Amino acid sequence: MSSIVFEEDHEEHHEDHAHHRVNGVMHQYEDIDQQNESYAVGMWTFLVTEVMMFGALFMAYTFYRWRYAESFYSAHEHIKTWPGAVNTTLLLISSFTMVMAVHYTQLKKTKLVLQNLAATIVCACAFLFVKIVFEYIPKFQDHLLPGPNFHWNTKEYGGSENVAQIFYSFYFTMTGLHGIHVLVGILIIGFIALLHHKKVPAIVDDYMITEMVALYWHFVDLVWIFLFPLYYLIPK
Amino acid sequence: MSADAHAPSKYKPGEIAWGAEHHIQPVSTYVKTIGLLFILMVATIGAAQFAIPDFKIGGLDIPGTFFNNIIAMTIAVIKATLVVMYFMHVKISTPLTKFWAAIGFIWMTLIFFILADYATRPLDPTIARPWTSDPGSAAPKMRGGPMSEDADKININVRPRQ
Repeated sequence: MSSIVFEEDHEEHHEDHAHHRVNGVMHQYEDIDQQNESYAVGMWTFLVTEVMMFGALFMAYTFYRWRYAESFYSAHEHIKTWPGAVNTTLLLISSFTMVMAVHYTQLKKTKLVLQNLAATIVCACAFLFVKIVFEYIPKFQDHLLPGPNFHWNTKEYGGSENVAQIFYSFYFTMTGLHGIHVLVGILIIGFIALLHHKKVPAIVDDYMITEMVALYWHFVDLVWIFLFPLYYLIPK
Repeated sequence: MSADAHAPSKYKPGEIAWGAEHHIQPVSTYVKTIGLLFILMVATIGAAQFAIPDFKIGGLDIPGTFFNNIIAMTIAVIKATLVVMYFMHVKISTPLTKFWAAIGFIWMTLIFFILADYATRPLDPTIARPWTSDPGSAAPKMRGGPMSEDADKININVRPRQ
C-alpha cells in the first residue's frame, strides 16, 4: 500500500515539478485552505508587532496630550487640516485600488492587477509628495523641527515652547515612522508589480502573496486613520 | 469548508488563483466600503470644525473638546473596523485569523491602562513635585540658533522668524 501512495505522490510531484507543489499546496500542508490560513496568521503576527510599536507611541502621545492639554492645543497651530485631508483621501483610494489588485489576482487578470498596483503606487508617491512639500519643508523653515534650532513664538501662539517641542517630536516621530512604512510599501508593491508583469507563476497562481502585501498596505492606511484626527483635527 | 469543497466550481480549472474559490468578494463590497470611508472622513473633518463649548453638569466642569475627541476617535475606530473587516478580509477569514487580528488591538487597549498610574499620582500620600505647565527641556540651544545673537549666520536657519 505504501508503494502505491509513493507512486501517486511521485506522479503528481512530477506534474508540478517547477513549484514542488500539488495543486498549489506545499508538501507540509493538508490542503490549500490550511496553507492560506497560515499565510494570513503569519502576516497578522507581523502586524501585531507593528500595532505594538505604533501603540506605544499612541499611548505616549495620549499621556502628553492629557498632561499638557492647553499647550498641545496651541502647539498644533502650524498643522493645517488640508494636507492631512488630501493625504487621507489618497491613502483611502490606494487601499481601494490595492484590494482591487487582490481581487483581480484571484481572478488571474494580470492587466487589471498591474493597473491597480500602479494606481496604488501613484497614490502613495503623491502622499509622500504632499507630506514633504506641504508639511515637512514649511515646518523646517519655521524652526519647528525639534532640536537646537527649535523655536516657538510663545507670545503669538501661546503655550509653552518646551511642550511645543514635545508635540513636534511626536509629530515627526509618528508621521515619519508612518512615512517610512509608506516608502517601504511603495518598494514592496513595486516589486510584486514587477513579478506580476513577468507573470511569475508563484505570484500569478498564488494570490495570497499579493494579499499579504495588501494586508501590510491596509495596515499603513489603518495607522493613518488614527494619526489624521490626532494631529490634523484638534479643535481650536 | 468540507461541504463547499465538494460543490461544483463556478470556475474552470486554472481560471482563478489557488484556493481563491470561496474568497472572491463582489466588487460592490469594496465600493460600498470605500464610499462609507469617504463619508466618515468628511464627517470627522466636519465635526472637528467647531469646538463643543464647555458646560457644567451639577457643578462638574466638563470640557467640550473632550467630546470632540470622543467623536473623532469613535469615527476613527469605525473606519478602522471597516478597513480590517472588508479590505483586510477578516470578516470572511478563519476563526484563528480573526483571533490573531483581534489580539493586537486588545493589547493596544491594555497599554492604555498605564494611564491609570499617572491619573492616580495626585492621590499618592507622599510629597511629590507637582505637575507644572512647563516640563523643561533637555535640548541644547545651539550657537547660531534662532534665539541667539548670531542667528541665521549659518545655513541651518532657512527663514528668519519675525
